Amino acid sequence: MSRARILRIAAAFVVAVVVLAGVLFDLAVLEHDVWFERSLRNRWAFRDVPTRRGAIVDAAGAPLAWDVPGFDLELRYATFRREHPVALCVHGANLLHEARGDAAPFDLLEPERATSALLELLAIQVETLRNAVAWPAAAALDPPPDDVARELRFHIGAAIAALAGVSRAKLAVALWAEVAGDAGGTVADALFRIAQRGDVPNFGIAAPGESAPDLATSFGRILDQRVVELRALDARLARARTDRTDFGLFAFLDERRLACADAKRLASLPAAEAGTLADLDFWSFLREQGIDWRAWPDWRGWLALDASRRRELVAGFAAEADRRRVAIADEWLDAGQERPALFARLPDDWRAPRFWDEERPRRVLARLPHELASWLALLAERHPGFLLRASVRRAHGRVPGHDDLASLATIVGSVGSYAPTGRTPELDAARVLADEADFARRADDAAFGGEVSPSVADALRARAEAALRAHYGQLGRVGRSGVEAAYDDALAGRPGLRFVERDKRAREIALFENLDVAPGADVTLTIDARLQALAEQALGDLVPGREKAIVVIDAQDGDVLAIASRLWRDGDAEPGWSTGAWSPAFNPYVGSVAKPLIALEYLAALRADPSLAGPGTFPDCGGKGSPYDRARRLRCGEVHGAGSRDTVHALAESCNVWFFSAADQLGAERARGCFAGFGWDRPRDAGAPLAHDAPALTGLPRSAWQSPRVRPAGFVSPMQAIGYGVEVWPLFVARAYAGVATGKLPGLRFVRDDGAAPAMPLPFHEQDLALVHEGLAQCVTQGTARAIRATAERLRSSSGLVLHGKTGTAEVTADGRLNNAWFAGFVGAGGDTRFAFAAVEYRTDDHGGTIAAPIAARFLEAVLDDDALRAQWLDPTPRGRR
Amino acid sequence: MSGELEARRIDWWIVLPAVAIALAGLAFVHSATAGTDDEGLARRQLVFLAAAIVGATCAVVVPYARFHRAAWGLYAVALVALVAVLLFGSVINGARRWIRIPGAGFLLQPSEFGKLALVLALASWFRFRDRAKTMDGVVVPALVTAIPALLVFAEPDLGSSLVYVPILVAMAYVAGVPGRSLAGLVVAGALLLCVAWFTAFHDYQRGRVEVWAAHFGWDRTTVLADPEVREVLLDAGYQPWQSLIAIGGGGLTGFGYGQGPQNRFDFLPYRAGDYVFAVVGEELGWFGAMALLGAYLALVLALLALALRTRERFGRLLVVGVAVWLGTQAFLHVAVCAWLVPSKGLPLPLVSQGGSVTLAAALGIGLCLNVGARREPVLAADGFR
Repeated sequence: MSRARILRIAAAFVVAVVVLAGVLFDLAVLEHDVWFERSLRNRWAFRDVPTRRGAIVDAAGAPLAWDVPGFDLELRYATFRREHPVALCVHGANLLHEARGDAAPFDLLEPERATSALLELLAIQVETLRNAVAWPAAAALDPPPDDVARELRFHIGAAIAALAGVSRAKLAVALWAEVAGDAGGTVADALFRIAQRGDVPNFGIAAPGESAPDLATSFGRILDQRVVELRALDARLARARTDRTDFGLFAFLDERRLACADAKRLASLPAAEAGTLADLDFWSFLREQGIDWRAWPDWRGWLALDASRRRELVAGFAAEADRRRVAIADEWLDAGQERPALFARLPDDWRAPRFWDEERPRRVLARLPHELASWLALLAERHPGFLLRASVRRAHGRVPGHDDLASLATIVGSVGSYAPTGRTPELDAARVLADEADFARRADDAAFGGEVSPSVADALRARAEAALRAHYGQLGRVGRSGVEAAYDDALAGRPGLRFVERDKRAREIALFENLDVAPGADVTLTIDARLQALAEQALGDLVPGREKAIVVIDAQDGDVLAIASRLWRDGDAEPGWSTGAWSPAFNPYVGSVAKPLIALEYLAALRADPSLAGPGTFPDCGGKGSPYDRARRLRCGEVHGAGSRDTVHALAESCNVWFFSAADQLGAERARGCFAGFGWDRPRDAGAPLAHDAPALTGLPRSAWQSPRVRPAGFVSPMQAIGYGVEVWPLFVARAYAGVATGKLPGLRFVRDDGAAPAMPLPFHEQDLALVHEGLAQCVTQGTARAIRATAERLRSSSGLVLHGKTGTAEVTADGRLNNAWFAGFVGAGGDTRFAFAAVEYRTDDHGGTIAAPIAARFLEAVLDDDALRAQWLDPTPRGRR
Repeated sequence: MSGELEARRIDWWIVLPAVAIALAGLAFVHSATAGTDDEGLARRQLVFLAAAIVGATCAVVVPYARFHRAAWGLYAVALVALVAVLLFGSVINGARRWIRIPGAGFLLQPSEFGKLALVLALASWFRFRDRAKTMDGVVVPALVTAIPALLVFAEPDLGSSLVYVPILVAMAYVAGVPGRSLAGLVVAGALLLCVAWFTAFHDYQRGRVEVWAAHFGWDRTTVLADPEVREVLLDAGYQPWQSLIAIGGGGLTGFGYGQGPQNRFDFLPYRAGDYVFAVVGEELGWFGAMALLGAYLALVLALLALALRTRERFGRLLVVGVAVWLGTQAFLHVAVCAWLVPSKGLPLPLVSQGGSVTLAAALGIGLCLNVGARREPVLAADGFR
């Protein structure tokens, strides 16, 4: 019987082992991949390495935008709260007082009192730290702590461990033993006993002293030193901080301390109530109030609401947040602001923050001075919670004579944070790293665990991608406008990724694989900052309500040399006047600057078809009194008489009758074809930056002006011949004049590295070009632009170059009160053409010859005044021979 | 009365697996502590093993009949020690399981020796065959077991206290206690456990059990998507989860000795003691884990085989008690590492770092060798049929 029972027991053990073997087999073999991946998750990390974004330089190599690496200082208050001895002492002593029913006496505004807090904690009796000890007032606390004794033990143990630099866990164990023991005495006595016994390695060394009071004094001194360091940090931050003179580190910390209490209160909410927090955001609230913000074009829809209604909504949201006990900073709810900070992130982030997350690092100071960053790096271990984060900022140069890039700022453009969703090409870099081939190479590496299964490889790939995505989300910058956006691919470079093995404390143990950083390439603009500065000067100051611009290009190869503008922004617009949308009240008609193009087209048509009526047959110009065609309301501003039959005179004096007659001969289709031939109908051939943010380049605020185009609606063909219904912005006008000058239409180029696009030959005879050139030259010397005759003469005398130009004055209001005043032209002609340019002032009560031509003249005069620029651009030696 | 020791009768089928297990233990304590603050533990373990060999030798040399005579005395000493530990013991991690030996520089864990004392006491009680058939034969051993088990439970050391129960059940079973009585014992034990759940279990113990029960419902491949589970796995579920990662990540052949990342990089807690088997699984893989498990099975079966060969009732019960004690504790340790049972601190005898558990196990094995190496003495019992 007994033997059988022993055998049964043996059998039971065999069965147990079989069961265990089966379970272990399931774990180690059948589910191996799952656990192996978890093992990887524990110890392998992908760490990103930021890249340098390429610089943008001007034609002469002067830097316009470049990256400056640096550090940001962030505070993770939750860590500070749990690990920094000052915070631990303050919070711990406050808890002690609150649990006794007193008011909390300590805060972080007076950090020196943290030592008093520490001494209070060290003076309490160890018995009171037992779990069973009741703290009568604790139940009334908001939120009530789980266990006051445990909280106090934690605060004391963690603070002392941080001050002594010993293992927090080992000290906690030793302290717990003392609390549970019978030795009694104060906490200082208990710590002294621990130090004497050597229970915690190095604790006795860290806390020297012959008695418990000595020990308390020692720790008090160490804590004082931490406070001194924090004070020094506060002072250094104040010196380094230029944006907020009232910033104080301790006020900031105390503000976070109070917010932390809110966060704790949040955490103590019942799950059901806490669940409703997920719905609390401003946008949900608006919807609940019956406001369909999704129909808004952008955040400005908010402004369409009545001001009192806006205030009511913000107050309602604050009340709702309060009801749900969610802490929302006041600054976000300033109802007095037109644009509440709730909208601050829009439209990129169409969400308002729900509540302060104390785990999320808060930036204390961006772009730390290097000496401050290095000092902080040395102190980092002594001040947990403060994080030094590598960062990079985009620095910008300046145009001579200005404090900044002036108009070039819009050309250079801006960079912004990166939204990784929906943009994946960059993430391919991570896939390169996570490629199975890379893992296969390491199949023999014991630490790698042998062959990597496809599922693990997939998991690693996903983690690599996630790491890179996080990098782009946090540090990545993407070009938002201008050249930064247009050349983002070249400028951005590629961040690196380090595939490392780490231990439980996130210390890097080994480097497995490395994805090299690829710094961004520099981009060299065709713009010359010196010419740009002169263009800026030529424009003068901004006149409210008006917009003006000047564009200068190299007539031979289409390089944009200068492009300056004075913008009248949307927000500054006069009531009822939209600068953006197409409107009869405001348009960018080029007016008479279109005439040389029509002239060339007509002369070419006449050369090809002699049956067309020649200029000699055109009617006399009777000015306004004797219209060209009363039925079509076609008339000329001045009486030119027989001048309407002289092409040169017609160009110089801008006689409408000549152009009405020529257009009638050409017909509407051919007139439009003429403009198309000069690139006034194609929006996409203007160089890459134009496709991205043309409004910034045009001197016009909205995309309505982005494309040169012919807009014939409302205007009959002859009116288009004098530039009505033709919307072109200055850059394209300048290019067309380069075509008129050289007989070839150049491609526009902003960036040197792009390579010049071949200029397209225009189908015009040299004699016709010469005739038009003559007309444009006379326009400056004796025609409608004679106001700048002196400049033309100076140019001719100093450089031997002829200034050609054409004015344009397009009435843009029905009453004829406001005009678009244009002046476009070129310096030199044919193969020796230097600049082509276009200057414009919109909505002026003046004329092209008197307001736009002087802009160009001031620019040319300034170039002549500058020896270096004159030698470079207006040297008498023909260009082809230099 | 007492038989002579015959060296040739030493059961090497017991010695061999025990030595193999002890050496493996030494190696893995070293692996688990190398490069850490606890690096010296392997050396200490070597000292403990040496002491254990001396102790085991003494246990072999001294006629085991003397142990029989001293059984109740030893049991009483064990009880005193267990009471003393509650009164004067050192608290580590919230548990009062150790007594500091003044001047010796180490701590003694009476609950480990209590198991041996219990085995001796129960063997002494059950050596009278007729007792097993009586009410006293069930109630008294139950009380004899319950007292030290409850004292150990109060430390608190749930894991060790649970080992006392299988020892009682197995020894009572071999002693001939009827099935009905055994069932009653088991039911009483289960009821006691239920009462303890509501009255005596600590929150953390209940938390561990609840997480353990919940984890069977998890889909292990997707469970980490649940934030609540992630929270649990950083708290009550941290240790067993890391242990699963170690064993599962080790695969068939493991990462190699000293190469287990869960071990090397400090993710696996208490790996020189309560989770040492997970280190074995991670570094030697399933094959290595099976080898160690097989060694334990071999040891247990060898002990039970010795019990079968032993006709003298006290000796037989003693060997059965030691076999069940060591086997149960070892397999429970493995089950904890595989999260088949709720996590608890239970060392793997002869492998886990610790002087008390090593010395107690060695003494137990030494006593068993003693039983096998002697002509059977004639004790005051009614013998076997």
